[in-house]
Order: sequence, then structure tokens, then C-alpha cells
Amino acid sequence: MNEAPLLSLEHLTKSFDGNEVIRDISLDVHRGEFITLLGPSGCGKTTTLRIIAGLTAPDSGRVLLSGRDVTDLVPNKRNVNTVFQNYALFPHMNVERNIGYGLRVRGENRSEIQKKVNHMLELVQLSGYGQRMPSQLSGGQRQRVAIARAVVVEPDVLLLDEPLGALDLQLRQQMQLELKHLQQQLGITFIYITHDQEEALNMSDRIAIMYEGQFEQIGTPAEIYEYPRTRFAAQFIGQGSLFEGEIQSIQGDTCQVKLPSGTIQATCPPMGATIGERVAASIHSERIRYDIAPQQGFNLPAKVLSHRFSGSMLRTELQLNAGETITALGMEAVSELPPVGSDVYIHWLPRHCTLIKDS
Amino acid sequence: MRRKPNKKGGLLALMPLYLWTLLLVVFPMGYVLVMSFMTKNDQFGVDFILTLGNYIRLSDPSNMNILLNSLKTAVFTTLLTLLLGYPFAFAMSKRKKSQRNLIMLLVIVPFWTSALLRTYGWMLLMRSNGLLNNVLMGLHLTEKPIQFLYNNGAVLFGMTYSLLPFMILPLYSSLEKLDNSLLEASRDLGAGRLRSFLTITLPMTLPGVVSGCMLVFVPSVGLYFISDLMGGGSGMVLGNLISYYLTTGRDWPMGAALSMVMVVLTFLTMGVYRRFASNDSLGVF
Repeated sequence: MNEAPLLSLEHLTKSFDGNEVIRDISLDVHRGEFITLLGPSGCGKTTTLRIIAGLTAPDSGRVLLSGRDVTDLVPNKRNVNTVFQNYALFPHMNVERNIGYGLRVRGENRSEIQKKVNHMLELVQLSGYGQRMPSQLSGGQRQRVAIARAVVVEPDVLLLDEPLGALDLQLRQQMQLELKHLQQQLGITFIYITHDQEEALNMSDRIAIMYEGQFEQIGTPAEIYEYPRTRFAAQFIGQGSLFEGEIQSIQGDTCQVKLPSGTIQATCPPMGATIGERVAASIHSERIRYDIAPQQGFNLPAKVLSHRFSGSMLRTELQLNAGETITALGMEAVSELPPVGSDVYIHWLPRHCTLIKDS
Repeated sequence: MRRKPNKKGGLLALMPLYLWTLLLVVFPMGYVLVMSFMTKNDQFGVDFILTLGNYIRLSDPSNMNILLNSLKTAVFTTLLTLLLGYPFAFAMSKRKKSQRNLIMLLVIVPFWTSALLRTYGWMLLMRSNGLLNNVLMGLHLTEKPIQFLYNNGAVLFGMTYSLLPFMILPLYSSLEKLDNSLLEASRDLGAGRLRSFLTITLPMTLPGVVSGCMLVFVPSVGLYFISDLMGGGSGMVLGNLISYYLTTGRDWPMGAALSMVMVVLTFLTMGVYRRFASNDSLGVF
């Protein structure tokens, strides 16, 4: 990571009609990286992408591409291409002409264009579809054409705006694999937008969680999942629970946290903690264990409210002493578990529970 | 599944449509068609002697000249309205919604007064002692009044003025429907503004261009009051000729034959239009 970043966003801000859509965001993207902007709709991720593409001008801040300031450069002068959310295929051109558009604009010669287009068609598994019009293609096929059209001009960075949003679940999962494969094959830097955390966790080298125009946390999928740094990140990624509490004692990197319903153990925050500090404890549902007998370490008394079977997992609602309910996910059969109404003790490994400091 | 419509009831419901079409289109057209094969009577009426003479007389130089002139005027009017209308509609489609509605209103407002009155209005402005010449002479830009009226140019001007909205409206409608993300995609792929316009905007709005051209071309062959008033003797169009034969010329069969020419001309342009419309794989219509 000592290499200079391919793309740098420096303190970008943007407002529309007085609404701050993007508030001072910065990000470095390295060559060949697959980075995902993940966030709920309206968090500013599409605006960020449009600023990188040059389709929207930021109010302040800079965009650097290979060290060169391209903030004021028109979109057709940037070696950055976009796969639009609605694909934006040219409806009056067939698949070949759509894919070859960027090459024709660059004035490449006819046989060269044909060769590259054919290669692209092969790469996105659409050989034989070259003469079709976009209206004659399925959603997944249009998707591939849009990607081929953007990739064929060999951009430094490929921007993808929820490219799988319009596809059904099965096709989406298949395309996730294909996209990731394509990205590795071509070695092109991808900046990918999605609101689907699973998609982001599956495909990305790094994820930037975005909320209300700011990056909440930037990190690898594992970092983001295991160590959420903000309340929003903790609640947005995975399924889990967030408890408000106060640090009671510290032993090494394990903190004792006092909750209204009892005392738990968690990993101390990386920047250290002080006794008496207010923190939020985040734990993923699949890491919550419970048993009729108390376990070693700590124990949080609770009552089993319900067991619900959801596909491969069993969801158990547990009620704590202070009245709040939490969900535990398990893979055991119902018959092996304490029945509804029984009193149990909740526990988990301290390293599975992350503490978030109040900012 | 769709239910089959009740045939009897359906036919009954469609009766008024057939009846009106019969009464207002088929019958009068048939009458004109039959009339065009009759022979002119020496006094006023017609004799029921079938003849092709009226159609043969179409090629008389006097008729042919006006016919060709009319086509020329129609072509020029169409081109002029297209050249003026396209940039206008383009600029209009780029405005905010509220502004677009206002501009649309301004385009439509002239329809609220009679076209004849508006033509007289232009004549008042353009005649030798009219406002335009007075201003030009007042500014000493010209010694003598300029002859604006009573020439081919005046007819072309009048036609263009009258028919411009018919060009703007379909153009605007197709430009407004154009998905802006297509232009963004074009820019994104490296095309400049001009190139994006030529390769995306223009072909995508071609159906609007064709329908605008049709809406201007067809009536411009018949708008005879404009050439009557603004052209004086010059710039006669097919409509003038028909009007002449039906009134002063007292030759109804000839007028009818010329009317059939106009009908055929209209169908031809419709044919061109439908060709474009059926080639329209874009779903613009």
C-alpha cells in the first residue's frame, strides 16, 4: 500500500438546494482494488460516484486521478467509466454498436474495434448476441452489455452504480461471482455502489460504509464485520444487538461492561477505554449462546420468548431482565434447545463483542 | 385472460364512429373523386360526361408551375421551421419544469386568435408605411421603404410563422422524453457534446422530426390565404389554384382533380412517416 493511490477523493462536499448530500469525504483507492460504497438510499453514494465520473461538480474538495487533479475535467476527458443503474444502453444501436461506441469515439479503426468488441462479447458470454437490439435482451444480458461497453475502453477506474439492483436474487448472486471474476481477470479498479451488505461483503476488497453524506467506516469486509467503529456501522452490517452500558473494569484487552440487565465482557476499543466511560456493545446474533446452566466467564440471565425457523438458521428471541429483547441465531434443532419460557443464561466469547465509544 | 368482447354490442358501440366517418370523410371524398372525372359545363355546373381530361390538364405549364412552386414553398417552409424549431425545442427541453410550461404556453397562445387576423397583423407591420419601415427610415437605415410584402419571401415568412408551432410541439415532446442518462453515458464513454448530440440526441428524436415535418409540410401546400394576402400575385400554392378553379374559374372538376392531388400528396407523406414509425425499435411512440 506504499504505492501512490490511483484515485484520491479529498474533502469533497456537495449540496443540492441547501441540503448537504456529501459532507467532507476523503478516500484513497489503489490500483486493482474492488471498493464498495455501502449505505442506505439517500446516503450520498450515487452523488459521490457522479463526482468521480465528472457528471456532477463538487462544491469543494478535489478528485485526483493518478495524482492529477481532474476535479474540473469534463466526463469525456477522464479515463473513468460508469455502468449506470438503469444501464443507459443506447436503444437505437445494437449490442455491437453499443459496446463499440467508446472505441468509435476514440477513432480506432474498424477491424480493431470489431476485434475488441468480439473479445468483449466472449468475455461477458454474449457471443452471438451482437446484432440484437437492447430491447430484445433480458435484464441480465443488458447488464452484461453495459459492463462490456464500459470495460472495452480500458478505463483506469470502473464505476458501478447498483448494477445488480434490478435483477432477481438468483441472477444477482450469479452476477456477483461473474463481476468479481471479471474484475480480477481485467485488473481494473472497481468502485461499486450498493445498499446490499451481503453483496458488499461478498465482493469487495474494502468497504466504505456511508451514512448521511459521510464515511462511517472504511475497511476490509472482515474488519467492518468484526469491528464496527460506529453505532451505524454496527447496526447496518450483519444482524446483531447493540447494548448501552458503562465500563466497569478492565483486564488486559477485555472490558467488563455494566448493562441495565447485568454485566458482560467485551473486547476493549482499540483506542483504549477508561473506567466509567459510556459505550455501546455490539454483538452479532450468530455469536450469542445461551444455556440453562451458567457458563464460565459472564452470564446474562434471560427468558426464551420464541423459536422461529428461518431456512438454515433458527432464530430465538430472548428477553433480558430489563425488558429488552435480543435475537440469537443458531443451527441446532429445536428439540436440542431450551423450550420457550425457560430461564437461560446468555454468554459469548469476549472477543466477539465490540465496544463503540460515544463520539 | 382477456374476455372476448361481445361482438354485437361492440359493433353497436362502434356505429357512431362508422357513421361519422362515412358522413364526414368517405362521402365528401367520394364526391370530390367522382367530380374530378366530370366535364366542366359552359355555364357554371358540370356535365356528367366521364373524362380523364382534368388529370391530363394537370400537366399544363400554368398548373404545373404553381404545383411545383407549391412543393418548393412546402419544402422550404418545412426546412425553415425545422431549423428554427429544433434549437428552440432543444433549449426548451433543457429548462426547469416551471419554465418549460410557461414557454409551452407562449408557443400555444397564437392559436387563440384567428390565423387570418395574425396574418393581417404581420401585413400591418410589414407594409410600405408600416411600423417596420417607419422605424428603419427613422433610424436612417434606409432612404425608401423596403418592399417586404408581395413576394415569395413574404409567403415563406408567413408560412413559417404560422406553422412553426406544429414543428416545435412534436420535437419538444420527443426531446423531453429523451433519457438524460443516455447523454451522460455518451459523455462518460468519451464523446463530446457535439458528437453526443449527433449520435444520440438526433437519431433518438428522429420520429419527432419526421412527425413535425409532416405536420408542417401537409398544411403548407394548402394555406392559400397566406400567399393570397402576403404574396399578392406571387408565391401561389396548390390551395390557391384549387380556390381559383372552384370560385373564379368556375371549373369544379378541375378543382376536384387538384384536390385529389393534394390528398395523394398527404397520403404519400403519411406513408413516409409510417415507415419511420414502424422502423422505430426505440419505443419512442
